[in-house]
Amino acid sequence: MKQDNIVPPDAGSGNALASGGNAVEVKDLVKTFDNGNVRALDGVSISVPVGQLLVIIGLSGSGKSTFLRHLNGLHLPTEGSVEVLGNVIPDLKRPELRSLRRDIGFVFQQFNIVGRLTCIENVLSGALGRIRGPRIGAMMYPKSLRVEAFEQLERVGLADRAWQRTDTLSGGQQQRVAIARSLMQKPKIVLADEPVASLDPEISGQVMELLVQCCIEDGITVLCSLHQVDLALGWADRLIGLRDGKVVLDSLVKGLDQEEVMGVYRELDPTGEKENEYRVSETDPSSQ
Amino acid sequence: MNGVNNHEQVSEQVEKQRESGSLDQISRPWNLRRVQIWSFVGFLLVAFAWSVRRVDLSFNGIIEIIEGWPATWSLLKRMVPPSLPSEDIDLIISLSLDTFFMAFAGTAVGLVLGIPLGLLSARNVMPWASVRALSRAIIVFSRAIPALVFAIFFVRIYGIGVLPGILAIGIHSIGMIGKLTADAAEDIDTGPREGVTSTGAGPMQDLATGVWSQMVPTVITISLYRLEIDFRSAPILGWVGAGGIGVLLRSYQGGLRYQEMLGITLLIVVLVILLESLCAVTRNALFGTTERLPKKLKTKSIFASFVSPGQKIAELIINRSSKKEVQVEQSSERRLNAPWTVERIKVNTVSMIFSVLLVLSFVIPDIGAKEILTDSGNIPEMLRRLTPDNWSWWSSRILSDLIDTVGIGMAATGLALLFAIPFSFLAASNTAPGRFVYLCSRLFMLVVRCVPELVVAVIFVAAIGPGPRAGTLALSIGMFGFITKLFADAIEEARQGIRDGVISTGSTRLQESTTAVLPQVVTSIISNSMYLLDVAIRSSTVVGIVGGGGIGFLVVNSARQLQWDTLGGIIFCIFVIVYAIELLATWVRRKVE
Repeated sequence: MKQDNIVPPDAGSGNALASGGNAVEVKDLVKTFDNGNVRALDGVSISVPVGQLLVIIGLSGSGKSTFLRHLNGLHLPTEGSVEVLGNVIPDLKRPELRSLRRDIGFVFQQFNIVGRLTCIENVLSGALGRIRGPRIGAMMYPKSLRVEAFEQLERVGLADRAWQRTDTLSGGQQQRVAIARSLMQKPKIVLADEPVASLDPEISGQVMELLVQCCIEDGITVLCSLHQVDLALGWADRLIGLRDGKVVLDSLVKGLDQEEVMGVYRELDPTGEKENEYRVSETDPSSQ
Repeated sequence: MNGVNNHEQVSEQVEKQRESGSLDQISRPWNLRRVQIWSFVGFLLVAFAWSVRRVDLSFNGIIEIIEGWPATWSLLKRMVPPSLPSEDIDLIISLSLDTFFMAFAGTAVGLVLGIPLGLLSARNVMPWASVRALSRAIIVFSRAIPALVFAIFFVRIYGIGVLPGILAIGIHSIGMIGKLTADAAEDIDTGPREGVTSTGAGPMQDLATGVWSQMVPTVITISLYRLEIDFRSAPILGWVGAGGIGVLLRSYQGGLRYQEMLGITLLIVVLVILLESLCAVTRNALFGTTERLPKKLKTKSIFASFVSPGQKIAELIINRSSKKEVQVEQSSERRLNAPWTVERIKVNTVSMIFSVLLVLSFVIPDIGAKEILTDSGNIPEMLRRLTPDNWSWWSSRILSDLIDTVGIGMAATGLALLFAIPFSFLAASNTAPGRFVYLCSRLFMLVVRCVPELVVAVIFVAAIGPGPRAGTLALSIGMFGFITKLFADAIEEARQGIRDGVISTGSTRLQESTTAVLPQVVTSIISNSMYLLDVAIRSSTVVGIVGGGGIGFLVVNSARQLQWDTLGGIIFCIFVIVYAIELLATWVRRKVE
């Protein structure tokens, strides 16, 4: 079920996108906001092989979201290079960026679905990159796409809610619609930015499981930022820790024992202020 | 014993403090903000006093009105009983229909032009600043120039008829529709839009799925809101020849047929009430209470307390429909099409009715399609003539009439506020002394609000003679109806907890209103009052057209005498004044909010 742990190859070999190549290749990425006053990312270098399940942990404000948003061009780097699926992002023109985005699903913390639209319309919007021209209403999409959207909704277990307005669903269900929208893109990479941070623990486990399972089925590379390490340990191949915009931990999960993980917490949170945020909860079933 | 001692000690302390002067602390210290507020209030009071004098409504003016009462009374007696002449009844019906469809088609024109312009002027839709600035300029201009002035212009081009009315309403509506559409676009959640962009959607796809789908309820509300306003402004346009029932009002006034005049006025009021309830029912049917709307559009209709049955019926239908939905899901082939939920049937029915009305509104009134083709060529020539080359059009009469206009607007605002603030406490469900008083006040408000102020002005001019006095009184009635609703709604939002706190100190009802409610609504009152001033100045530029004083008289007169450069110059002056007041009002509102 789990991929073999692949040791990240050295940077520079990411151009070839053959199997075993790198899906994401980031080198010395620096991002500053507010005219250089805020340094959100400070020399981050990460390579992610195709098919890897990568989890990024770190405190709020450590740069997790900023990093992920660079990978589909929602942010542009101040310095350094970002290469995704063989495309150098800052060099892309608008249409090229759009066609790259079609290959990258993004799952947001706040779901970012259009609440007024029905579930099926939201899922269908994942196919916008494949068709031309604007669409208003589900019936304007071709039937084949509607069939496909239903299949994706079935995968996330919401086919019976297809024609219901999305804002009438619960938070976990809304996030599942958002996942279905991402899958509808037939992506090669899924970026998930704290996908379960606004859900309660039990639902978090279910949604995470669903996301990972779908991605493994489709052979999708996953980069996911998470608050709760215990949620990640069950399925992730590799763990990356960010603090103040710097990589402070980069390790394969296999063989990482409890003691080492505790070390990770201390490294991430030297002052101990946010200890609880990272504590592995004993009761949570998904921590095994 | 102890308590008494304490009390003595305290009064000793107070005594000491009084001697040492530190008891000055007992009155509130002055700071910059307090000085600003009070000087602003003082300025407003002076402005009000000046404007009341300017429009002849000071003490002497009121005495004059009272002395002239017998003459007014005899005129009023000639107005009753109101009548609709039976020989004109066909004409009255056809003109009423014209008025309805004119407003309808006009709003449609406004929507077709205003929504794209609004989107083009929204910062998050249109990246090019130059395009935004241009569309914003068009929006600001069409908002500042009253529909009646546009009507005069279009009557000159297309001749007397419905077409100028439709165009006048349409062009003037662009302003409000465009501005609110732009606000709606800029207010959307960026999150869902980001979600759509990150699937790789193109700019038009993003606009449709990411932006427009979020705006739909707001745009529908804007449209219905505008339709209500246009229903109120359409009846008077006939006064300058732009079709509809106003034509008859004018001819009866010219023929001194006062009974018929009052009859037509009452007919207009009834029509406007009917049309406004149509809008309210539509809104309730479409949204009920489920939709989240921007706060400033959440104008719970004045009908809300009267047409709640509409909502009940809608809920009933929805409840029944949810059972059917389950059956639809059964067959896998059929589920690929959107199921016919009652929600969808309702939306489709409403849009069908409106489409039919829209088609009818271009068919039933005699628009004169020929004129559109033949006469539209004259527009550039007209616009050129309207642009003055020099200052020869300027006269001291224009200056004094412009000052009168501002005076009328200010005096009407002040008078309206004087009565509206106390009255709105009676019309708010949580402060009214009883359910009966509340309902009566709301009903009174509803009727007053539905009376177009220019139609009232016609009656006032007939009763106390032309001049700013009649215009001011008429406007203040219209403004009263407009503002009490806003105030009453604000009062109803006051928090009950604070009121309970004051009530539990054993205060009377009046004390509780002034201590607990008034402070909660005072910012809303100030802000809405500035908005009222803005609206009043806009109306005061046109009351002169029906004889109510101000610049309006010169507008009609210069059009009648074909002095185009004068007309153009005056339009420019109106624009400057209205825009300046709007900027002032917006600035003050931002300060207090």
